[in-house]
Amino acid sequence: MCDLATASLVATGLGTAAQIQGQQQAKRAMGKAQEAENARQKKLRGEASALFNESLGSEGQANTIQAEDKAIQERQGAAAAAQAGGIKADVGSSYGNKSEVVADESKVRNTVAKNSAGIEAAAKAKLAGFGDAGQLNAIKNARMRLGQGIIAGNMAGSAAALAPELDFASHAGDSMKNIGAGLQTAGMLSGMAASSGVGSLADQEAFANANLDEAGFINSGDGRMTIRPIGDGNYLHMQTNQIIPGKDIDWSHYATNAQVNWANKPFYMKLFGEAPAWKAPAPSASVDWFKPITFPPLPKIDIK
Amino acid sequence: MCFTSSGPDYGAMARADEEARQARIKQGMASIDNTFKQFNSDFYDRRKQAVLDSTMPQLNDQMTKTKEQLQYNLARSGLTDSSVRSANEAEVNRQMDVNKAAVAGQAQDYANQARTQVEQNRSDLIGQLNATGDAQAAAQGALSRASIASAQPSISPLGLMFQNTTGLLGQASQAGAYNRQAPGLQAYGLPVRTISPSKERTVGN
Repeated sequence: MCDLATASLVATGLGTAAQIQGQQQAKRAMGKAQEAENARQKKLRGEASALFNESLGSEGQANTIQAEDKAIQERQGAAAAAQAGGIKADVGSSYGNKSEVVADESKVRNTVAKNSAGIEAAAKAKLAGFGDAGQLNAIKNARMRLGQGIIAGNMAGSAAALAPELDFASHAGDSMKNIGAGLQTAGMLSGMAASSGVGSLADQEAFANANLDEAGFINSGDGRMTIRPIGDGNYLHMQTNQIIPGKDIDWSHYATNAQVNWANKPFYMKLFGEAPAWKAPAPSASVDWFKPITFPPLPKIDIK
Repeated sequence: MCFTSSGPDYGAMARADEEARQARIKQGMASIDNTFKQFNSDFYDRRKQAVLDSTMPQLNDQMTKTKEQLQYNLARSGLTDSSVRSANEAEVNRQMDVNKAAVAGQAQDYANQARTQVEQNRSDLIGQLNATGDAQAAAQGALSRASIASAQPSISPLGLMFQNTTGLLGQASQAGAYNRQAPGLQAYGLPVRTISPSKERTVGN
């Protein structure tokens, strides 16, 4: 038999357990959210790192020289193409006087001039080619930087979203916590009720035990049987072997199997039921041999 | 007693908002890339060619006039059939070749300038997109900027490309053309009849 004080302790214990479970649920949910965010951040870091490595890789000496050579070749090619053909300053001789000496000198001087202009143009193209390569490299780096900026923004945004996620996850065990709080409240109320003597299981149990101690048993089948029916309304007393007419038996002193079983139940099982009527009913409805005793109903705990 | 959960999942809502923002940026980037893909090597080659097409005729024109001035001045000086002519022809040709290379380089510079401008526009748009997460504004901005960038730039006319290095190529001959008292080569203190090709100063000699 269990009283309200015990029930209060049990409810409080269950409430505490429920709250612990709720906290564990919250912890698991928060850990899960953090883990997912860690994975996202790791992926984004990888993307940013790949961009950086790509940018850095192209800055190597070999790549730089290759890019500059390409730009220089393009510049020099454009200059050479421009220099090819076009108008020449061929003034020509006067009055058909074709001096071979002058013509030969012109040829030599033009060749020298052509070479000179070519060398000068090539040198300038080389100088400008460095700038071209530098510009392309700067553009490429700027694009990488923009890409990294976007990734950084995504990292910051993702991290910012984690805060409300963690906050919400911290409420993951609220149901269990509420159940725990409910049980603790029930336990507290039960304790208060027990302290004020309301619905005391101790009283009920003591009362039942006292009655059982002085009562006889019928149909218990457990060796404690004191009387059993033998027909014709008579009963055999097992200890004394006396045959007793049923009408002479005070049934209020006897307990049924159901009453004995209930009294012998573990205390926690008594929290969820009512005690059977006390005591054994008389075999004949016409004879009111006893005054039934009922236990007050125990408080029900409805867990959803 | 209340055993319900803690209301709407505001954590998931925040995550969904962030994912939507990232998706908008991705979409905006796609719009920008799509709009700016016209600015490829062909575009800059065309820009370069446009500059060449614009400036090379100017250079040819200057060359023609310089050649004419040389022709006049040589004739006026009686040096048409002399080494002076050879030296000046070579000098003009040299300057022409240098100038043609310079014009080609200038065209490349214009193309580079356009490339920088386009990239600056693109960079600005991406910066705005990243800051606002507004894909639509990014797309509209990309179209607007691309339209401006693809317009032909104003190209400054060529300056005086030929230098009067010998005194026969431009200004001196012009002076002689309009002033019969102008000394021509005598302006340089040299008697016309005593000048010899070996004493003529030309670049490359």
